[in-house]
Amino acid sequence: MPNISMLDIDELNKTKLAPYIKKALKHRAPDPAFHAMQGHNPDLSEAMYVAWGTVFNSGVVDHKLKEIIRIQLSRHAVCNY
Amino acid sequence: MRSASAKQQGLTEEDIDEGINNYEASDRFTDAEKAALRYSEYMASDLDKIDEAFYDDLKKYYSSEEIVELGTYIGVNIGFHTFFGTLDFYPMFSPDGRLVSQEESKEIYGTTPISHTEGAMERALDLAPDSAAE
Repeated sequence: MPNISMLDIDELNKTKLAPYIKKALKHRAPDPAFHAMQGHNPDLSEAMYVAWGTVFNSGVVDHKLKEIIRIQLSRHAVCNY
Repeated sequence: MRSASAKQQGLTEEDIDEGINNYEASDRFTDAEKAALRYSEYMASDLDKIDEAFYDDLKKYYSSEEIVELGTYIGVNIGFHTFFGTLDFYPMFSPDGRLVSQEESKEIYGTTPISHTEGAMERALDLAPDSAAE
């Protein structure tokens, strides 16, 4: 089981994170586990979500290359996410 | 998860595996792309190799602005995946897009991290990353 509790998505949908969760559910990404974990700290969850979107989607470096790097580092950390 | 926009740009699972396991010898990647993949690999596991000479080589392919973009991206991912990796949780989406319990997710994905498996890219077909970040 997870080493900290995963918050209930329906409950999180009543918080400031609702717009991000609705979007994640609609687009099936990012996996809502992001907010189920990070949601323990809603302000940080929101900030991280926005920062992640900025660092991933903006800039001039090729997006394919970024995706390979992301998966490379996920595998390195043995991360399921 | 796989980025839909990356997939739309032609990224394949074979590119990913090659880019991680065999990028130095591969003919799928340019010298600039290899430099970026090397940067990421060394940032994660071999920091001593990132020195002045390394950055001099990186500057052959990338501007300072791009190096900052790459370095930030790599650093965020190292921290993010390291933290999430320690939490030992499973995705809430099944490969076919259903919300599932942790128990069911564990049965689906087993002990192999989702990023190690093939076929997960299909789950991101409906994703538009730019709108997801709105």
